[in-house]
Amino acid sequence: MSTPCTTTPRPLHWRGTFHAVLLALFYALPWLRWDGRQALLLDINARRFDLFGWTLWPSDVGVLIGLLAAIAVSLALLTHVAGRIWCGHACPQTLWRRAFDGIARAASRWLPASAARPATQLAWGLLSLWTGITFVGLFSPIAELVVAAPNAGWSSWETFWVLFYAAATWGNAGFLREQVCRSLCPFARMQPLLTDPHTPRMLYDARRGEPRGPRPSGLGGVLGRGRGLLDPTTAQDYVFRAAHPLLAGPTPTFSADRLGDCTDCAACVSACPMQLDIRQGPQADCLACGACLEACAQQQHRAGFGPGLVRYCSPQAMAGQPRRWWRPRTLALLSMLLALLACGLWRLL
Amino acid sequence: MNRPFSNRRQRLIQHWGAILWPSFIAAGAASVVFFAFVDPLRLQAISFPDTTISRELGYTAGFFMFWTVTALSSAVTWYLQRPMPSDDDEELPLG
Repeated sequence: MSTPCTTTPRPLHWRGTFHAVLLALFYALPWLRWDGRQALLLDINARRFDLFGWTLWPSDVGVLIGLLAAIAVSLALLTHVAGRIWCGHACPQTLWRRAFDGIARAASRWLPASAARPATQLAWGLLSLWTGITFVGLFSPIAELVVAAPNAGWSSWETFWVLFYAAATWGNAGFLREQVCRSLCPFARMQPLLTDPHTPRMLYDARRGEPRGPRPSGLGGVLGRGRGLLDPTTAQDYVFRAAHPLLAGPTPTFSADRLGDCTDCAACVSACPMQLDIRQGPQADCLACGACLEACAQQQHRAGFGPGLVRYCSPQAMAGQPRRWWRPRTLALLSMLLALLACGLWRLL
Repeated sequence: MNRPFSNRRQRLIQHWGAILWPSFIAAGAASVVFFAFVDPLRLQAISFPDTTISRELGYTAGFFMFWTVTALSSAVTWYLQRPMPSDDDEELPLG
């Protein structure tokens, strides 16, 4: 099933650009203007919130809480329907960790080894500081904040919160990293409540990939050379053997024509920011960021196989079952969202 | 860029994270709701009329007060959730 195209496929090529755009949006957010005022200013000192021309006063706290609740339910609904889109592509932890990774990679590529580490730390520190300033700029007019910075003109509270958020950024993206998603994030722990077998996630097609192993080039994929897909039980057996070598004993050796499409190159494992092996099956820590999918697609293309050994799809779809759009949780979350929106509409009209 | 954390370090992060992080979120939420209704300057006027404070000091002190209380609660929960020390003496040799 080799594809005739010559360019290396990058199934999630938009990922880097999308993350960069989201980061740029965050840094630009306090600089946006609306009717001569800062467009988004949560001025807690003056006790007024400006949200793009819409002003909220302390008496509007119900609207604010309703707005936050609607956002939270929308996020839950998005996760239920489309999987961990938020975690993999929009969560600040993911965005800043990738930005920090990008800085470290660039430093190690362009600078000598002795200078790379201090340069990385310096760049991380500056980015964290600017993040802190941007964050405080959402609560106190940013233009004045930046003008006052060189003359040490910040109030002690502005200084404190800038440093607090700079330290938080550095700590989360530079030190704790994947531990935040693994051990600290409450939203990650809530995933089993929101998802079901119809929710897409990052999955490895064991029926096509197993048994894994290196082989001489030019053999072609399992579908092309007629080996076909394994039955699910055999495929799971190979997955179990590979994941638990101590329990299962040594894996049998296979002739090259019986091997599946996984060449055991481990590109997926080294690409994973959570240090997971996607081939071991669905894992709670998987952020569905698509790093393994992209790495695997490139390796598969290089080996002359078709795409889709690692796929973003629901376990039901992977098993060939039809998709069900309306499940009890979809209806519950949708009705909650509609009720909140109706309340908001009723109050505004 | 992947570097494995040692087990001990990971346990420490989990332990302190489980206390500090949920209490941070709870304190943030509590501050938003509390200060939406209560102006720190008014609160100061009725509680400490002789001292002058800025709103920022009021908000910051309020947030850290909430965080201290919620973190204390998380810490006590952690302490109570630890397994009870067993009082059987299984480790002693029977002979």
